[in-house]
Amino acid sequence: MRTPLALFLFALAACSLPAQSRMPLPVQRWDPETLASMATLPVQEGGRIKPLSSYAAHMLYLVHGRRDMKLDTDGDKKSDITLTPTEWLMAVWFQPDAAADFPLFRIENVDVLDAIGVAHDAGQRFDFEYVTYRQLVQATPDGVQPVDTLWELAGNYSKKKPEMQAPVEAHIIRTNIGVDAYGGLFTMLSQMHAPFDVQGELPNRAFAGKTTTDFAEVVRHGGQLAQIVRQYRNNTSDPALGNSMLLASVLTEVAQRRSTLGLFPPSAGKADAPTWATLPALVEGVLRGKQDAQQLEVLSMLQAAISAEEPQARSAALRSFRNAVVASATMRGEYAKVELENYYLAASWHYQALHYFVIAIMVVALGWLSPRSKWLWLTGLVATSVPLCMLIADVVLRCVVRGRPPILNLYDTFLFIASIGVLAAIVTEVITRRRVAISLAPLFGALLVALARAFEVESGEDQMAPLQAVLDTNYYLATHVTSINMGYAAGMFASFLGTAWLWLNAVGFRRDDAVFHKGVVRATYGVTAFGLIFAVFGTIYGGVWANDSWGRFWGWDPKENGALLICIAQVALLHARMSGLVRDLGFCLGAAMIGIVVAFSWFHVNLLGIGLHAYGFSSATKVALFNYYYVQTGLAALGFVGVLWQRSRVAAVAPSIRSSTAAS
Amino acid sequence: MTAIVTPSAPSYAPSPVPSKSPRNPLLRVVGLLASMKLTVVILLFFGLLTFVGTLAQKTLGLFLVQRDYFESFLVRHDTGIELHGLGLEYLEGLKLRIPLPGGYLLMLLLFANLMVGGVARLKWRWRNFGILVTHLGMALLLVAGFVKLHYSYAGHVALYEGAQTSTMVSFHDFELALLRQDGTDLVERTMPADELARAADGAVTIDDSKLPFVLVIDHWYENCAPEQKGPMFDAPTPVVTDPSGAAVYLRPRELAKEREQNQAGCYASVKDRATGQESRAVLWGADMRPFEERRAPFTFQSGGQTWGLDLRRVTWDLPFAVRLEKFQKTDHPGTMTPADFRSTVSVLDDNSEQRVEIYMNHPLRREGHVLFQTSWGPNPESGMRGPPFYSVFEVASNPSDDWPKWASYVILFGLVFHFVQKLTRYLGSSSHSAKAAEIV
Repeated sequence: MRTPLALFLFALAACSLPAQSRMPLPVQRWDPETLASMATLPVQEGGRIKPLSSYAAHMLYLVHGRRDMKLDTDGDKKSDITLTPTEWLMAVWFQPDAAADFPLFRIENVDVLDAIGVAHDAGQRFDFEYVTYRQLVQATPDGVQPVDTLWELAGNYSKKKPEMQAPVEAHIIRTNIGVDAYGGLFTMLSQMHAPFDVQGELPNRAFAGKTTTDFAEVVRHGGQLAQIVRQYRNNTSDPALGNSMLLASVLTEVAQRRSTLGLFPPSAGKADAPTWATLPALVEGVLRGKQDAQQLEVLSMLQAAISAEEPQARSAALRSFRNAVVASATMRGEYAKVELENYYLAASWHYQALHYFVIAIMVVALGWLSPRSKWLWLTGLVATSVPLCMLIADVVLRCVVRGRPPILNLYDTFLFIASIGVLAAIVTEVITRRRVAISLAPLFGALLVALARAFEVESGEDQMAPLQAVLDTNYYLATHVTSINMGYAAGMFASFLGTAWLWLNAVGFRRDDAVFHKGVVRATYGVTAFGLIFAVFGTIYGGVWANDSWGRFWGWDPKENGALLICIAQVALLHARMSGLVRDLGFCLGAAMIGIVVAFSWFHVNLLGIGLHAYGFSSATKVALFNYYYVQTGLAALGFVGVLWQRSRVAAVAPSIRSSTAAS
Repeated sequence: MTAIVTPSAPSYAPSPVPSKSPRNPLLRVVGLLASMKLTVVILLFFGLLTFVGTLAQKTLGLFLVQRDYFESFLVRHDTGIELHGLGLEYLEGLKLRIPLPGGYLLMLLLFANLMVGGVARLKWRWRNFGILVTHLGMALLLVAGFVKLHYSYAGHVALYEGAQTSTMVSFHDFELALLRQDGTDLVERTMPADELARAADGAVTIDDSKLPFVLVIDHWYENCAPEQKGPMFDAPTPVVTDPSGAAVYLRPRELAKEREQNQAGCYASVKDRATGQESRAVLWGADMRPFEERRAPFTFQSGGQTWGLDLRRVTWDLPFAVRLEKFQKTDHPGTMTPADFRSTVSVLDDNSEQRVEIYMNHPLRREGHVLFQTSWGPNPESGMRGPPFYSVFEVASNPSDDWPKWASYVILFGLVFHFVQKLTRYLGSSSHSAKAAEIV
């Protein structure tokens, strides 16, 4: 909930930002050494220690909806520099005036701009536009700040159920979340940018005769200021007070801010003091007489970096600040995986894999030019195996950074399922050698990795967040969760194979080659059976976990039901095939449709907002899910109709063949 | 030239069943139960039921869906489709309901189908070994579910730090306890809620010659709340004057989505055999939490003794006592996200005292009972902060507690065995080598 303090902060920010038209942006680029150094600055946020680059990345997803920030610094309306998340965050903290003009908040509907009172070019743009923070805090002619209107509207619309919200209303709520988060970032270090006057006898005595000082010094003397305020609270007109009250009120205001970013490690050990101080917590501690000398020292180093006027001096001071934090974190045993996580983010192996999957798609497509060529077939296998290895490296790195099995959240499932699906496809291809599995593998991998990236940006959350108490068991995470996701992977890939069989037959591909088509059916059958093993074991073992956690094996929770649906669908399909109820066409149609059952279990049950696995999602996830249902149903239905059409054509041709044979 | 590809039956399909059905009706039933096509039909219905049962939870809640969909023989699923507008004006306001077989019926059929077709009539050959093992594992799982449904009970124990108990309280079920002070002992006689439920549409009379009074229970409600009768409105149920002189009645409520939120209630009339004096009271099964005051039972005098009537959640004796020594909740640093809930308890029986920790995913299993860490308090949202904390343990007694785990191992073994067996056979088959020939 927004407090009067937050309103005050926005107003404060607005006052400090003079009106400015869109001009070239004077962004100071940091030297690579400082940037690299700051990327590995350990911070505590969301219950864990992480590199600053990780925090910056998910803040940028949340605020900007992108993984980087493109800027036009010379005014030619073309982006000419791209800031990494860390560089963007440093601009926000250390060059707030320039950062206020960054095109930041993505608005896809001009009605949103009209609603909050931001001027724009007439007419609905085809795509979207970005609004700067300055535009939001700059008062309109009638004296209202768009950011306030945005807050008020979002508050009103949030009272509606998500399904009752109009698209513009949902957009306003979403924008407000980003703007609110950015407001917190923007003002986090704002008090450290300006010097403070020291006036009056008592302040001069406290500050050893200094007439100006900085924020870190004010904090350092916070205890004395609090003492003065308490002593003189009934005599505030005493001239000896000078501006003590003002200085104390600055500290009080900072102490009341919301912040979740721990920047200052305690001097005590991790066991005694697990929580790092945020700036407000540090100030509050000082005001309450609980000073931590080490934290104050780190604050002074940060102040030195902000106050430095020369870029080189600022960089040097910033590195000193970072090194001090690293030294403290290392002593507490909290730095061990920070650099590895930063490497993981920078290397982005899954993103590299995405590129190579796209190349592999082209390589396997080329292979169809000479279907019997072993070399082209092998090249396709290798081309798909390379990104698979990258993807596995990505998954393994995540495991090492977190010290956990591969899947802890929905984001992880994309990468894991992509890896297992592609691996299953390669094994299937090596066994069947029909080129179909290998042709689908890179497509499957690329699609899931692209979805993972979209999901990560859309959620705007830390995808390495620590586990809730109930999930804190490596044993069940490694058995039940891994197994059920292997079932998802195989079910999804079998759906791809089944759809492929339908379309290959629908378009009459290799119409004469019954062995080829039978091979694809066998591959679909094999992958479905493989998936069933893991789906069944994973589902039952989920019940075993529930029995250890909640005292009941099966509770008909939507997630449990979703997993059960996959098992039922696959068992029914295999039994239908064995009993002769369905043949190749029915089997492949069923396998294709099981993809929808898998998607329902994988994601949709969480959207229902009921049960023990209701995580809540944005509308984008829901839209994507329904789009998949429509596309998959359409593909299967069209394929099915196409196969029937082909068969009717064959049936029509057959009598004439028979009659001509008889005539001869 | 166009080749004609005729779809063929899979080579691994079972041999066709002779079309001539046996004359013996029993054999025909066995034949039907053994049918793999029946398996498919059951599974399709089960899938449909699971799907609609999942969606129905959004409106009905888990408890009702569990009872009406998955533990029943027949389901009338409300599709939510209004019939008006279809030219059937006389049906306006009616919603389209479709009948479906309930989960209980389907699981019984599946078990029968599994045992007859998947075990007894399956050809016991080496090649079917994996399937046989899998089917036996599935049967064990279904039996475990049956035993759990009929022979298990669950409740909770809520304790403040330092407190001790040897009883557990049901989450959902109520009972009526008749209490009598016998010297220093309190003698109890209980009547379960399913007998009381007969009073929903009539009355349940307890006319026992050993008792000096006749007890009549009427107006049983699964969920209700007592309210004071005001002068400006009529009460929907009988009004009773309580000992303080206030006129009270029970206002029925709709069943809550979460079953444990239901508070049962009823009216009790006591008629003394000797004097013919009659007294009437409202009984209400208000919840008992550690932070709430315990309800006082309705008391009356009869036969020279003081008697009490208490409508309460069912309580069971535990074969041991539990004392909460300490409760700890740890959050992830700098957040409100819980990282750990942990209770240190002492388990006491006649001969020993053992100190153990109960925390998430690490329950205490002892003498047929399992204690799980399930909740704690005081809840900061209710305005109560800081110690002393109370800790709530779910307690389950389920004879088939470990069976699903063993079933999962059996099924996994069976499925893997069968898959590897089939894969090996396929790799060695001529059809596989023919395929391999495509890539030269």
